Amino acid sequence: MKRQLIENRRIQEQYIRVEHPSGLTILLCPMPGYSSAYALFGTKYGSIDTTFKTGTDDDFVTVPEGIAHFLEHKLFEDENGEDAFKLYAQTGASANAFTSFDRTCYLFSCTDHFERSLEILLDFVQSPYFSDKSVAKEQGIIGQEIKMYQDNPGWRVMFNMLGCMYEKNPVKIDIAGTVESIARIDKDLLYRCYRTFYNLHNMVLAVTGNFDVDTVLRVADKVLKKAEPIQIETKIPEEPDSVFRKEFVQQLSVGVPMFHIGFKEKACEGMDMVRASVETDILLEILAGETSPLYRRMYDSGLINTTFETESFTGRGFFGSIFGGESRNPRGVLAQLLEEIQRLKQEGIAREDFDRSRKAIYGRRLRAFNDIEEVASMLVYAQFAGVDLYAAIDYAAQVSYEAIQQRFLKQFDPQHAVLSIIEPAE
Amino acid sequence: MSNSLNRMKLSEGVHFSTIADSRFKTNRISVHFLLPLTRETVTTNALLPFLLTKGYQGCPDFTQLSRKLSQLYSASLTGNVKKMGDSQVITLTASSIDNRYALEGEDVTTEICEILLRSIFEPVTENGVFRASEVDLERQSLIDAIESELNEKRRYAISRAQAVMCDKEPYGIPKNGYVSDAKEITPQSAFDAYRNMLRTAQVEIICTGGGDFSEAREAFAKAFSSMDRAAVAIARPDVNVQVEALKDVEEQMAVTQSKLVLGFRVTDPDLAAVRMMVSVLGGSPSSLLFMNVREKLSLCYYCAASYDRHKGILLIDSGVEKDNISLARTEILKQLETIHEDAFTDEEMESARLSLMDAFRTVSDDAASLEAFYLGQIYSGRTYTPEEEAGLLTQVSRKEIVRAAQSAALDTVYLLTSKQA
Repeated sequence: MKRQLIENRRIQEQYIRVEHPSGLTILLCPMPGYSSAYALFGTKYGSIDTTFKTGTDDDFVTVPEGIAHFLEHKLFEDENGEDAFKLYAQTGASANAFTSFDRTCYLFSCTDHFERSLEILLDFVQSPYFSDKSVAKEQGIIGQEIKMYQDNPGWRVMFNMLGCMYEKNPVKIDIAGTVESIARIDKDLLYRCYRTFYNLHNMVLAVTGNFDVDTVLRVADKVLKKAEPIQIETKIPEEPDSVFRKEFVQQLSVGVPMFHIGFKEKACEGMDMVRASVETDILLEILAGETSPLYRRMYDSGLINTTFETESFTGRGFFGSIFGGESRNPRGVLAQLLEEIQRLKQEGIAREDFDRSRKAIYGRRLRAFNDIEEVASMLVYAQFAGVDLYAAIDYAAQVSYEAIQQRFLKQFDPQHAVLSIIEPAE
Repeated sequence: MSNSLNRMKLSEGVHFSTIADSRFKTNRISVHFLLPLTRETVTTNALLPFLLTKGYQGCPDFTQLSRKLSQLYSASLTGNVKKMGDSQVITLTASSIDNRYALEGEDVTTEICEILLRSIFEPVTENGVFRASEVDLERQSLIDAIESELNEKRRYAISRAQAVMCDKEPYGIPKNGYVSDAKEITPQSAFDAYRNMLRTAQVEIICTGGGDFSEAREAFAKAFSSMDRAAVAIARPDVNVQVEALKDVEEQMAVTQSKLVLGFRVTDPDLAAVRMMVSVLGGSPSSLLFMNVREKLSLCYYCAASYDRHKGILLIDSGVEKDNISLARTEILKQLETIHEDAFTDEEMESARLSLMDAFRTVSDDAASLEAFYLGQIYSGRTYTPEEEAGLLTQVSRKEIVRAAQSAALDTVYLLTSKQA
């Protein structure tokens, strides 16, 4: 078993990385003084992985949209129809799971009975059981979840924006799929997805907070089933640089119209992705953060209100910037934003704006280390991206003005901007 | 881990508390103003956090203020409004990284405390009242916030259910007030509300983090000592409300999934027992509501119980398909009956206990949760730490859980559903 301590002096943090003989990478970050422990068991498999094969499969298979999320739900149930939640009920742990674009994670937090909860987690995720009957029942439950999201304007405005940005990239698909797509899921497809992506070599376990390292390793030795190395090929359709459509409007019950403006950028990987994400966060702060003249102008003229926010949007195979909030004139917001981008590209970024924004982004990243859940999720993110946990905060502390200026000239092309609007329904 | 609250009086109706904890890389100071919740004052009070976080006399420009905060490693100054029992709580919070982590050795903690103090005590004025242009802008932000409450259907349904249930009590008033009243706010009326808040509110200042808060204490003591205070004692709401007639209200909106909310009055004064009852009923994925109504019967996507101890109200809220509404209602009530009739298992009881104890112990890991926990304790006159609250749960018996369930009376059924038949 390979064991390595990774330290960061700047923020006085450290964690242990273990390559377990089963094939699983285990990342352990004990945080003294915390009451709870938090465990995240994740696979590098999300809603975008709809076409794939393993090294031993002959052909690629294309599976129905929403199947990764469906599988996440189904794993909780064992062959007797019992739910893993029932097992956690005996430990008091608070358990959950989520599926995102590029990963699926199972988690619990607890203040007591950690060892037993960890056993439950590692065990049920390694014990799939799917039957025709249980699949049919889940189609009903997830159908309701999908309907609930149809009423959620914050969710819709985001996916409508992705639908504008991307023509083929499956990131545009709702993570839960549609009522029609999940109707095509059967137990054989679930087993195929499971066997491909739930191989321990494709997974990670991150534990943070109040726990003992040896306990985790003991449970891992006992419960993990050795996996053969696997080669997974996923096919993401070739996506043009251009956007699919410029604008999409939907009507829903909202008080004030909502909007998302997105800029489609070229996807990247590893350290490039870390740099792209930190630099873009700094640029968003300079361009439209609360400190910017643009924010002030839009706020004072009533174009935006306090809900206005920006974020960089990165993951496996996609990258972009988002500006979102409420506005009675979203097209006016887009026009002002494009005008400001043009001005700043001509005039260049002021040094003092760069200095201040870099500090702000460093501070924001540092805060995340307060929270055991955030640390665990950063560990999983870093592992799947192939970088170190501290790569982003270290980069934020030292990124140069020139790097920011260069990125700015490359990104935020007005041709790559899209607008999604939710208008109040009559 | 102690995480206990150290609370001291600064002046009439003003208390300063610290929760020292060096685990946190940040410091957080919140100033809570507790005011009576009334139809006449709610909306203007709700405007104050918007106005007070946009600048102060020494830094009257919002962009300058944002830059100051940004320079302090993305320190934040935020305003918030919430309801606690029959009170409206206006909160201003400043939060920053601790000095230990500043890249250039800056004294971040002192600076952020000063920004908070000045924002509260030295607002920008013209002709002795708030600036008209600011009031115009922030009034619109408040109206937007009120109108957007319907965006989140689950939360909206809960808020509507509370309003229907407590239509004759302050608790039924929405925390941000009313659009029609917001439109009437003037710079003068907003400034009057501000003066009234400083003079009459019960004030709770709570600091959480690894920093030294003694300077902050001195500064707040000085600021309040120069005020002519006439603090109004905050009355605890009457939780012994008898249900007269069931209120059954249906509202329609363009929604795909209907929302069903059941509101109960719980008169049992034993808080630990009521908490246990609510946890058995619908506090976790192993609760009766989740296991039966959602998992076994697939009647709802979510179905959960929550208890507002300050008001003695139990709410069960669920997201259901239109065709399943009446069946869901019957099955939800059946789960409460199960507790009434002492027909739940020991396993269900013990898992509820473990899950609830776990939730209390987790409170101490997050500064904002700790602060919210202690504000609630102060409001209800309880002095227990989260650990002690968890300890009290170990003593709750089955008999006490049944008794708590028997004290619950259905008061309101609220349904939000689609227009078509």
